[in-house]
Amino acid sequence: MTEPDLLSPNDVLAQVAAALPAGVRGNLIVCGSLAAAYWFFAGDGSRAIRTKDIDGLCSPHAKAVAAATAITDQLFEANWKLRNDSRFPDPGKPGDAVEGLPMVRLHPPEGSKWFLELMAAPPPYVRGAGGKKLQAIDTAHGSFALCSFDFLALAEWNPKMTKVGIRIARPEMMALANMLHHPAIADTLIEGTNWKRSNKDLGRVLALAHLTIEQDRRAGADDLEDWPVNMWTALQEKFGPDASQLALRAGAGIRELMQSKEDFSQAVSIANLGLLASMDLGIEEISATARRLEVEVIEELEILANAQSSNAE
Amino acid sequence: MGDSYFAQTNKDYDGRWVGPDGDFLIEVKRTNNARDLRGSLLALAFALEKERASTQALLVLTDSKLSAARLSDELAMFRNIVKDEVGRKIHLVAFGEDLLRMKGLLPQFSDDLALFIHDLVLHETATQGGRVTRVFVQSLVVDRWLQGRPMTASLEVQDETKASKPTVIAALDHLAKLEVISGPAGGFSVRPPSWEAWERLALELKSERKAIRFQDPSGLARSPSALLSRLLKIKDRTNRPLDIALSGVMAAYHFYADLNITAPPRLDLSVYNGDSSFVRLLDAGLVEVKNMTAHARLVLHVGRRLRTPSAQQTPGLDQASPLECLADLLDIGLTAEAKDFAHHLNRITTQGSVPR
Repeated sequence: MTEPDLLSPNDVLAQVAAALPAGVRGNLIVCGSLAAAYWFFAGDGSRAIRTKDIDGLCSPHAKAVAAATAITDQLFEANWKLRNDSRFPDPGKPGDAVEGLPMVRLHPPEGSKWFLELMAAPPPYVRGAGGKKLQAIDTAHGSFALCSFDFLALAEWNPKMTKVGIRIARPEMMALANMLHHPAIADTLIEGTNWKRSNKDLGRVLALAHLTIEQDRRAGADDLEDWPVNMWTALQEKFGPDASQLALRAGAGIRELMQSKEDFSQAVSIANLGLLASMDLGIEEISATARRLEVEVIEELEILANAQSSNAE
Repeated sequence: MGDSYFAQTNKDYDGRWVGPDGDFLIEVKRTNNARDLRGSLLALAFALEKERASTQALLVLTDSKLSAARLSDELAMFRNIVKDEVGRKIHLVAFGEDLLRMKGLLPQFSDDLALFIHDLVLHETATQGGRVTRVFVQSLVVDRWLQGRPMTASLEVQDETKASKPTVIAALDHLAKLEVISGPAGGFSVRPPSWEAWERLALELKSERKAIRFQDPSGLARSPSALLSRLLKIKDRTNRPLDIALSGVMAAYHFYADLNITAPPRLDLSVYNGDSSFVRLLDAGLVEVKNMTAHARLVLHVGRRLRTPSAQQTPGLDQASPLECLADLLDIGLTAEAKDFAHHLNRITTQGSVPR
């Protein structure tokens, strides 16, 4: 696997923001590790992260296709390049089956290892429907697929506007999305690695919690305490009657990870290669964070959900 | 469960649980000895004689190595030799070392009763089985003086502490040797202790309490004041009611605002019911460490309560006795500051202006 670049979150976010058409800049929310890195390290030029993919969520759902089309066209015109993918060497044509279309994954003109991937905000949640959805976009440079996941809707909740004029998802929303996406440790591996996908994503949750606690201690704040309330509010806004059930199962994957030494160790290793790069934290440190996450966030979220269930009875 | 209580030391039992279908007298005994067990069963039989017919009794053994089968045999033998209407109302269980599981012939306890038994066992464990020690008595004499209501006679001390007469005499002798009290046992007076006496009293109290130390392995420890703020947030949400008081540097500030310590190095709490389970809710990142030299962020001092707690609805947290604070300062290694604190206590106590 190619080692990703060490990136400055400020520089990358500024480059993405500058490349976007002004009219749709407000329709993009940056998620994932770049958003987290900017959230936590924007004021610290010495902190860098390793990542290959910059996730851009086109939002809201109703405008996602138009926004993604405009962004894709403008980036191609600015000489951004489609990422090499042997399965999808070229863009498709209008009318092609969406499953056969490449995602919008574009490298910046100077040829960095990182690329911007566009996704779409999901349609309103329907319990039991497939979580992953694809829709086609037809641009002046060919047709592409836009992917969306149910829980990405959380990234749309109260994102933060950055100095470079682009919004980033909140850490607790990305954490909750990952927690809901992985209610258990699955054996699915990330392509080209022996890393379990769930270990990477749940490890990301622990990294987000750790960085929030670190920031709290530094600033004398208590942002982690706001996580359960924000999570509960977002769940109610985005998932309505399903909010309680989702809140009550949100912690299942993290709890399973905490019980499995091997998976926990892998999650910590992966986190140290990404968001926690340059911190090099050990199992003991992250275990303490996991326990705090369980008591101060997961259990508090469950209390909020249970209180609503009791009131409803 | 509202009327249930932990009994005073002159009762024939350690606690009474008041239930809808009748009360339970509960005796907690730490023993491996069958003779002790039989004596305690018999004492409960006598205690039941003074009770209503609906009252039952329960003997709870702690740290007992007697097997479940042996317990069952002992209870069966006991029931054979006492009247059936008494024997069938007496039950026997034992807690292992972890105080988590009961063994024995378990009657159908309600959850409330089981919780009460567990709390009572923790309480008895924390207070050395209800035994009032010399150190506790001498500490209480000093603390009453600090509160501006000194005790002046051995009978008063005995009545207040519920200690045995020999224990009271030993404590007063010890205080006299330290020149903390003077005059006959029937009419003594307390005077400001010298630093040497303060140090001795504090170190003796320190060695009698059990210290449980917690470290933060994450590198992201809460400051002691942040821990205290969180404690105030969670104190009404614990599974069992907290019986704790603020101690150490943070409580010493309450008694001596000019104490020359810039920032408290840790949070010290006195715990009077032996229950440390609230620490998970307080900060689950903390881990208990046995290493005395490790830098602890939180230290619990498990022992017997010296000061009456405030009314339950009082916001905030009570302060432990200044003597407990002094013991903590010495435990931290702040000897010069402890000495300054002790002199301040003498000064304000003799002026009659000690904050409660």
